[in-house]
Amino acid sequence: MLWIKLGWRNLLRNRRRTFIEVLSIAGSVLLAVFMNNLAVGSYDQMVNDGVLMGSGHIGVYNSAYLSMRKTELTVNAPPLVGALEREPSVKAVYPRLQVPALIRSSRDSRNAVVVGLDFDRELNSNPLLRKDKLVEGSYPSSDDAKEALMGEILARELGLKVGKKFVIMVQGSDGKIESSLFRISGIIRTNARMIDAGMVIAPRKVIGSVIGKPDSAHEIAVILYNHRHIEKVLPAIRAIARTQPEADAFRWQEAMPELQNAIKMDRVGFQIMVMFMYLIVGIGTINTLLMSVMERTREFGVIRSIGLNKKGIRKIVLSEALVLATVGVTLGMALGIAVTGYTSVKGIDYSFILKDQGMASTLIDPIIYSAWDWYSMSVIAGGMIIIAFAASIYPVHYILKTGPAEAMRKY
Amino acid sequence: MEAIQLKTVVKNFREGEHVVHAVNDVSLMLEKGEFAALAGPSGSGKTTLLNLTGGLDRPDSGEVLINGISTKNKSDNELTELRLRHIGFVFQAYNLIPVLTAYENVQFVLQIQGVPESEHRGRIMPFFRTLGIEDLKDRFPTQLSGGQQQRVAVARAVIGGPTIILADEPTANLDSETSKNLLDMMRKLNEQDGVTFLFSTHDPMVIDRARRIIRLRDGTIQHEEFKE
Repeated sequence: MLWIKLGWRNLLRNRRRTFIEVLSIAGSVLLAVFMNNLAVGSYDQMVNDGVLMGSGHIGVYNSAYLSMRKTELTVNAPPLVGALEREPSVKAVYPRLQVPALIRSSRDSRNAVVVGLDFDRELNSNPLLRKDKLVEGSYPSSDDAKEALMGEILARELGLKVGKKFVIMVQGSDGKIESSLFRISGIIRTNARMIDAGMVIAPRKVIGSVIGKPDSAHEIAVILYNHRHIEKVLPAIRAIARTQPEADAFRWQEAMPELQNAIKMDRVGFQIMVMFMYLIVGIGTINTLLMSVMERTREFGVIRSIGLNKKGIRKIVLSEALVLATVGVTLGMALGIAVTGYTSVKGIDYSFILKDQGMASTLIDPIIYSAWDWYSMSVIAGGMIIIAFAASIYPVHYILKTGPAEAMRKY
Repeated sequence: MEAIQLKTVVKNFREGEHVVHAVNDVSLMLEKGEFAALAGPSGSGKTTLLNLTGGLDRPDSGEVLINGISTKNKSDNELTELRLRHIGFVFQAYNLIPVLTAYENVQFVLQIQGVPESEHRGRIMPFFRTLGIEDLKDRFPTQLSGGQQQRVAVARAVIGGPTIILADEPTANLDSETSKNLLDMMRKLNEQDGVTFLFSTHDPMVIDRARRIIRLRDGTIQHEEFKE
């Protein structure tokens, strides 16, 4: 306790300098905590939406489909869907088709992706089908109807409106070109150009019939009750998938590597930023401690003369570093928790800068909510304490290189 | 056994191109319980000799022994330990730690020595009463007069039970009344507990009370005087 008492009181000798350094540490911790939790929150949202729109927590595919993406590489959906739905850990199962197509109107034609899904299953879960995305019209009246939702930009470019007809031309599973007439039931606006200008959503069975495989699916997205159970559940899902020789099960990270990579890149960028921030704070802390120590060179000479050895001198300087870091980290963490608490409920609306809300094959919700990443927060706090300790090394070296007599003589 | 022994000790300092012979081939022996003073004009080597005696500085040649223990080839930590266990220092400028109270400044030595905290009060307060500063124990150095600070410094110097006290101009910043009182207390410690005192001083009051006066000039001992 002596060392902590000394450390605290020595820091209070120059309150302004100590206050500025504490603010610097606290500010860095606040920034790191807030930005980390906001980033993790955005990753969680991206993964949640990506998983619901895309492969699910675990996706069942034809083994070759993920690498080749050919229309004919499907699985037979009904038996797999039934078996998957009976798995206790499985919350929902979404079979889908994804077919590159030419969309033709009387005015023009465009390339697009036709997504075939079961509206009765996905109406209340798929981010693409959220009510706020449907800007005109309605959803297809049934899963057997030749009706479709179209992206707003695509519809405008083709000169189409709700109720108008258009043709979907695809390559069938036998390699022949097939076409079918559909009616637009609704227009969607997601603010993601890849969707608004390039997607049509129609009932899966109808699209399956167009390509010649009415009960097929390119992707069966399996949604779990708990995303942390992916590894635990994967073997069972895989066993079900492999009841069809060509099928297999994949984690979402394997099925949607672009999403995984986008998150990883962002994470690395953030970690580099935090490293530089800590480096700058470390330099500031060295300066604070060094100035504090230099002003007390004579005093340290006296302390050594009365019998405090080098280890004791280190403890004095270290205790100052520890007090500085503890106060700064505590303040920064408290502020970080307060800001995270607020933004985890209210969120931050990025729509003013996020013009295109599509990324890595998923939608980005412009309102980002912070998440509670306690592990990273403790690493941030611990890292700053370590930086403070490291910052005390040079000041200790400085004071110890001067002998006690010289210290008392010169200063 | 001699409390302090210096054998042909030399210490030089370089000031730019110029070499200063601060202590020049000095040999000295102090018995246990002596009350001695190093006297001489400024620059005669008094403080340097005191620092060498206390292990605060290392001689360029020669040997220093404290209670028979040679300081030659001792590491910094070993010298520090020697000071902690055997030597107490009283400085001209008091040199109390400003962020610790009077009590805590003295307690600091006991904490470094590893004395259990339960024993601190019992050891410190008798000294404070002897020195007449028991009411000042919770004050910080800036709240004390020069004389009071020096008495706290004396308490700090003796609390660890040293056998030798080295005092560098302890009365330099004190008025005569305070100086007299301080010296009388030190004399009492010397006579009652057998603590060896070696002063570095200009002060006639100190010289007057010393039983042995070692006169220095230009880093060498000119002569010594012994009193009964």
